[in-house]
Amino acid sequence: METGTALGLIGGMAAVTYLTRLPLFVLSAWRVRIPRLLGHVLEQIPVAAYAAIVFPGVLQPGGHLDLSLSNLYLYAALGAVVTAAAGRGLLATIVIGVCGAILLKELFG
Amino acid sequence: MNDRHGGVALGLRESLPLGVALVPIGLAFGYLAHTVQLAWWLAGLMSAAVYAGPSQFLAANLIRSGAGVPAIVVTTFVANLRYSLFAASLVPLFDDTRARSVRLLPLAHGVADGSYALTLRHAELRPDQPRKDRYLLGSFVVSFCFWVGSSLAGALVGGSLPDPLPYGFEFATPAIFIAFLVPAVRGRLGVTTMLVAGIGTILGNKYLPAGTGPVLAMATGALIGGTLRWRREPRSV
Repeated sequence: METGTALGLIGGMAAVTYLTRLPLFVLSAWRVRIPRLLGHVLEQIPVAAYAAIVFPGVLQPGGHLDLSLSNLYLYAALGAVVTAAAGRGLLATIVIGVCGAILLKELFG
Repeated sequence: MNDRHGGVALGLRESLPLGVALVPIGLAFGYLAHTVQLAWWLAGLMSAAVYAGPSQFLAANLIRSGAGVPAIVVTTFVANLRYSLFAASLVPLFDDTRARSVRLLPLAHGVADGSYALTLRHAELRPDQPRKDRYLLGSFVVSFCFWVGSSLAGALVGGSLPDPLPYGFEFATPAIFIAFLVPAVRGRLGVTTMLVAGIGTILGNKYLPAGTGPVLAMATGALIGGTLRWRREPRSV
């Protein structure tokens, strides 16, 4: 890709992405009152967003669905879930998950 | 305590684990950018100006498959529409910032998956602390520096190292969000939202155009979960 084309691409991507983030300012500045139903929907956004990242990350590694017991990321995820459920926090969960994944790949991959 | 800077410092400190976890992902993006012949400084510029990991991977793969600029820009927009939902759910937390809401104009660039999750967690742990936008600012600075820095590093050494992701480092992303997902899922309702969004994303990735699956599944999951919650709520007449 030529430099000029790449710059245009990055400019376009940056502009549309900033546009998606702009409601942070717009909704606040215009003092939009959020209806109750929408408020409840927004409360569910975090769980929905995290699930939309975690499920494919574990069950669709490299873009291919793998529900078999030979999917090593299942076991790394199990370790991370147990760590998080034990209230060990962000750092411990990442370390257990990533080190588990690397180790499992090294041993069985 | 110095409240003016307290929130920023807290956001900086508590985002360090996130920053470290972003390093292998940033290195991998830089590496991928190198393999599609994007100059190192363009890879860094993309990470700084777009600042949205998943859509950058998508874009690099689309460049490889020969897609045109308009198609990549549209895909980026759709893939990043989730930030509008994030932003809308952050606004109620920033109620005391509304008088100076122009500050949210640059801060909007910091609405990204990790900082969003950390800011929500901060609001839940410390509901009474004012100016939660400052926490987001601190988190933004840390994750921006780590993301752009590691992208540049990955693009610069790209030719001489293997891609780190297949060695298990790709698990950094699910690991980060497992840490946020587990405490956030509460009751059957939370499980319903999680399953609809999670399974929907997997199906969407398989059957829908690139980038559309996650945002559609996320919106559907939240809509179903939110409506169930709303119907269960006692009505005051």
